[in-house]
Amino acid sequence: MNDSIRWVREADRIAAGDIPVGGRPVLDLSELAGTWVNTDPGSRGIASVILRPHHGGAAGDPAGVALGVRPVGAFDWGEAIAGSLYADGPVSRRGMGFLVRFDFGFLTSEVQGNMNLGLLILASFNAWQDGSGRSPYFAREFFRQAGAPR
Amino acid sequence: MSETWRYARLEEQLHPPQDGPEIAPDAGAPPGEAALGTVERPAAPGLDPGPLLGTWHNTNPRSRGILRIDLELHEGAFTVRVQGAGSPAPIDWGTIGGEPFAHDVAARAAIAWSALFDLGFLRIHLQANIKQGVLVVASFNEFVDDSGRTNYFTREFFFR
Repeated sequence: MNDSIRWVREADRIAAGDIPVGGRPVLDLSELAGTWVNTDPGSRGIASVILRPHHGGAAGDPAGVALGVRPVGAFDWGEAIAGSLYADGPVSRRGMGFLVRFDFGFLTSEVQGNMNLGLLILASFNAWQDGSGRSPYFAREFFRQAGAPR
Repeated sequence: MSETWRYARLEEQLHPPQDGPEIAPDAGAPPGEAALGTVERPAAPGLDPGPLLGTWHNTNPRSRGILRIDLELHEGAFTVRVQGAGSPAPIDWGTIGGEPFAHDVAARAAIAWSALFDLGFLRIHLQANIKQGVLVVASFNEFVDDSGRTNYFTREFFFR
């Protein structure tokens, strides 16, 4: 193990040979990219979501790759750029998750996405900014790749 | 007296219309922006974080991630304390404020929370919810040092 780097849990300790040469690697977002469809066709939340990688200096990963996230339900939320992208481990370059924020003015929705066993899982933490007194609430939905074999 | 409030998802409607179309998007919303509906509803009271409170232990005693989470109220504020796996002893991340969430817009009982631990070299977004008695904790980890480590995601499960 490399003792020169800091950590607050064992999972963040990495062997000296595992430290990437040349800094943090660019994440591979190919597994996330595409159109994902809610596994519940009767969902009253997000029916589908389009994930679109952006390369070359867009906001997001400092290495120059970012992910556009566009949920569509009863309404099209428009595309927001995921400000943070995540791999499945501290020495991995396999892009598996993201955080993105939608600000509608009256409502902010912090959406976390991650892949697990071929599904995209979207969890949202929703807070009202309109003084309506509605409770901030949590929702989680599951999505499959559009066109995935049945 | 009712007021009109906007929503972005149908599930945010408390009283969907019985007749006519459920969806009432704003007409003429600019392309690329969300078209949003409106619904009339009464205001809901504040959240009760009680269902979240207690000491939660990782279901995996050999976890190399988070071992224990204490969710408490301090002077009415919801707080989160985390202990990470370490040797020879667990590592205390400290206690910070968290934000509770209900399961829908009309509920008072909190079933989820989020919190951000800024540890200087590492920022950890924790986002959690209770499902069937288990606290499911997603951890989004961002290294802000020059270690070359990749930002990464993990999910762990906890019981009380």
